[in-house]
Amino acid sequence: MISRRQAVVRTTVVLVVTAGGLAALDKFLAKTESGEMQRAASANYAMGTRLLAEGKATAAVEPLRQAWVLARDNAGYELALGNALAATGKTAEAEMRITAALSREPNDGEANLAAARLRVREKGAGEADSFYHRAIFGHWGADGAAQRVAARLELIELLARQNRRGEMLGELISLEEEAGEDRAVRKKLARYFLQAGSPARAANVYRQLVEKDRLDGESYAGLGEAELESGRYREARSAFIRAAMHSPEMPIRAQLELVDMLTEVDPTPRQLTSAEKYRRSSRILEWVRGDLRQQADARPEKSSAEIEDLLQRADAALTGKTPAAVSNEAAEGLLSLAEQLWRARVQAFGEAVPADQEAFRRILEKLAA
Amino acid sequence: MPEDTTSTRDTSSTRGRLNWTGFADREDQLLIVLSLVIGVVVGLTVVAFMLLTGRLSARMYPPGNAAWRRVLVPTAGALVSGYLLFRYFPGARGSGIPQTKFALFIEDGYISLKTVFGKLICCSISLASGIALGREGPSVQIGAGIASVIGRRFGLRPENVKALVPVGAAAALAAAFNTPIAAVLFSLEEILGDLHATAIGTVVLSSATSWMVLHLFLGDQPLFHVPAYQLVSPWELAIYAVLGVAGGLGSVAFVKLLLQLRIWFRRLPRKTVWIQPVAGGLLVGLVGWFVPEVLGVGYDYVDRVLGGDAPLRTLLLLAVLKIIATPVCYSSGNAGGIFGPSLFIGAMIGGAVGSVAHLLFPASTANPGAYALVGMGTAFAGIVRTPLTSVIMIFEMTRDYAIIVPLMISNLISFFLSQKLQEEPIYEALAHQEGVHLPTSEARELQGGVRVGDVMAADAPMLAPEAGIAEARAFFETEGCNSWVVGEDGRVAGMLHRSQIEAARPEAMLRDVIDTGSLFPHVHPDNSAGQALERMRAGQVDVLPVVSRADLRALRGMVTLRGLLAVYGVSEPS
Repeated sequence: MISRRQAVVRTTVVLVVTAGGLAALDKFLAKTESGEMQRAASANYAMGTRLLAEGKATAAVEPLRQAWVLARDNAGYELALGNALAATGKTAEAEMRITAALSREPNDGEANLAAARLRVREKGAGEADSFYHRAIFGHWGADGAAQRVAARLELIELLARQNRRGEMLGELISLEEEAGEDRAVRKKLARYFLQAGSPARAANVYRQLVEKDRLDGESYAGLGEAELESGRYREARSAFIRAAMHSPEMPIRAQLELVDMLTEVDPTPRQLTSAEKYRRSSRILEWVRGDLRQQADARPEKSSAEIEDLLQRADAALTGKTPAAVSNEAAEGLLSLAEQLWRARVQAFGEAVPADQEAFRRILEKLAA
Repeated sequence: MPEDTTSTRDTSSTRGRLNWTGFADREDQLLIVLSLVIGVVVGLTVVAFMLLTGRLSARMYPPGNAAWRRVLVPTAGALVSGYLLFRYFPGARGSGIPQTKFALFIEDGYISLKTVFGKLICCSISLASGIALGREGPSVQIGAGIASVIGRRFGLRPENVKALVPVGAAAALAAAFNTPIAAVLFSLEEILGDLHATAIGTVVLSSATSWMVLHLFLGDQPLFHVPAYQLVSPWELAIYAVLGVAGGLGSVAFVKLLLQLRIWFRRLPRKTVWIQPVAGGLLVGLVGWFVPEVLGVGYDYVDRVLGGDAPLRTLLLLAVLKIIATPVCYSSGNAGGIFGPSLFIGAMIGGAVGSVAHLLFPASTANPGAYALVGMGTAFAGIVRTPLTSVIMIFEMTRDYAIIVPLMISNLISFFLSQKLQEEPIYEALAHQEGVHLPTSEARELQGGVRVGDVMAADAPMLAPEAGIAEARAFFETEGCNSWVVGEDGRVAGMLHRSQIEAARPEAMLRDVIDTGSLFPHVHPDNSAGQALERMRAGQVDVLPVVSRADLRALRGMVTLRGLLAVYGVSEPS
């Protein structure tokens, strides 16, 4: 027979032991559940990202959703799901996932990048820029510098597609400082400089690249392009020849022919004699007169009295007697007239020319610049 | 597991136990301490129950499982749990809410430890196997049971053990739904039926404690993950009203089907009771073969619908299938609750209404997920009939204030519609089917002051049915009464009136005189003294038998007019 006191003490002890046992059981079960769910989530995430990488976005959504449902704290899973949903065109749901990830960590680089990509898909370019910038200056995990460079490159690519050269150039100048010694990034940087209308900066980057690797044919080709765009045809020719030497498989024959032609007709080099400059100027004027005549005959509705007047002046200049001692001023007069004809041609008929006459177009663009 | 043998009915011994602790006159303080202890123990138990069910379910349905498994597992689960319920744990059958109310109003708060274990084991098996029922109702009974056992073990008086039942229920619901405020409200609104109950302090304490235990082990994840929704246009309120109508009609269909099926199953031979749950398991399995979302409580799919990602046709199909599957599972005797399925049905109906609205008025309506969210509360209000709890519960689940106004509108419409088309609330109707007469909310409101149980004479003798008229006349003269209770062995046969004695043949026996077929005037121990007086007036008697709510012929005592008047300090007129 136990006393009352013993009975209550025993009940208290039983309660404490039961609570302890239950706590241990709960901890064990919670740990088991957490482990199983994490493993399942990880497997689903791996499958989803693989499918997404293979371009099977629709198939990727379900495993990625499962991964996120099983591990809702994992912002990476939620973002991956958001990206997959965006890729399948479910932008509303994608926005919910990405916005949720952003609201948890507004400065997260990956989330901002996902939001930027979503805005690009939704054609909200203005907002996309700001998300790209937040991604560039946001928090990244390991390898943050490379991620920032990749985000900026993506923004530059967007600006290039939208032909926003000024903003593109600004991003490229920032990228130049961040790119470091990564040759792949520097090559892209040079290419984009060229696209942004800054061939001198592009050439500078390519020069740095070839200085560090004298056998890099690709960079020599790029340097050739940059020099070509800068109007430095001799330097371009030299770079193309080196490119062909180090990378014979590169298709640069057309560029070499173009640069040879340009070298042949370019009236701007200082070392040219006045007679040679006059000859080259006449040739350019003759080409642009012939081209403009041809265009006017083909599309008379777009022609005008001004064009006819310019053509008559060109006829007069070319059929007139060549002076015995030509001066630079006479050559400049022909070039000035050629420039006027080219402007009229571009205004009325655009600037597209046949590939074999690209050299004249480049010369005239250079003169008109 | 040892059966709990400590009964609250042994009041003389339990009163004495506490003397040495100094708590004999301070049980109120002990109640506060125990409500914290109950919060911890119930929280731990419910967390274990949820995790156990989840892990078991994960093993029964591994990823990429075959379709045959979806038929076999619920059928086998129903068979095993059905046998266990029949053979070992008959008290653990059903959802747990009506059983908790029986315990509270009829059994003086008594729920055995065996029932708690039975509920835990049988529900784990049936829910993990995919039976289309929920875990919240069973959790309530488990929590109330734990509270009852703890109260008895500490030797509390019966009224204090009763007071701990809603404490345990609130703790369980707080952990099961992760909604501590709604758990308090549910305990007061549904279990006690009184929002002004004095137990509110202890209920709040246990609910908060249990919720903290839940967070300690499972973190701060809400039950459902809902994007932030907002009212796109004021016109949306009209669509939410339509949702209230749809939710109300769906709720009524669900309740009526469940009650009808329960009647049908109860009519089947008693020997089939152990195998009846298989009907539910097989049905849900066959449906699950084609539509796996019907299996189990379906919270994963609800989460998805709340995200606004579900086609209209699927939503409608799932709403209909769940409205059929859950009543069959429940009525056939499987262990599990209807809270979870209510939320599922509501989410599907809401999602469907929202999808149609969004299709018709895309610019002025929110994502269908917002309607699914409100729909959950709508069905809960219509089926469980606790409108205040449902509003607060959905608010707590989602933590989204913007949804409150639409939620209130559609909940109230659904509640009133359900009340109109299905007069008796589901838990009261189920209790009536079991032959139990729970006090109505009006009756509970009148139960203040002195109760019949406090003034009844527990040892008053009944007149035997075999007694003669002369013996009865002598008894009436001695007692000075005009009516008395006839019966034997604690069973009431009927009421005998002086006029019947006068009219009877002298050689007749009382059984020939009294009316044994019809219901006699009676009261229950929890009725108020005022109600007893009113029933004496209505029945033209001066004695009333005090009977059990679970069995109207089981005598607990008698109250006399003289005794009742004495309570009010009045002498009986001569």
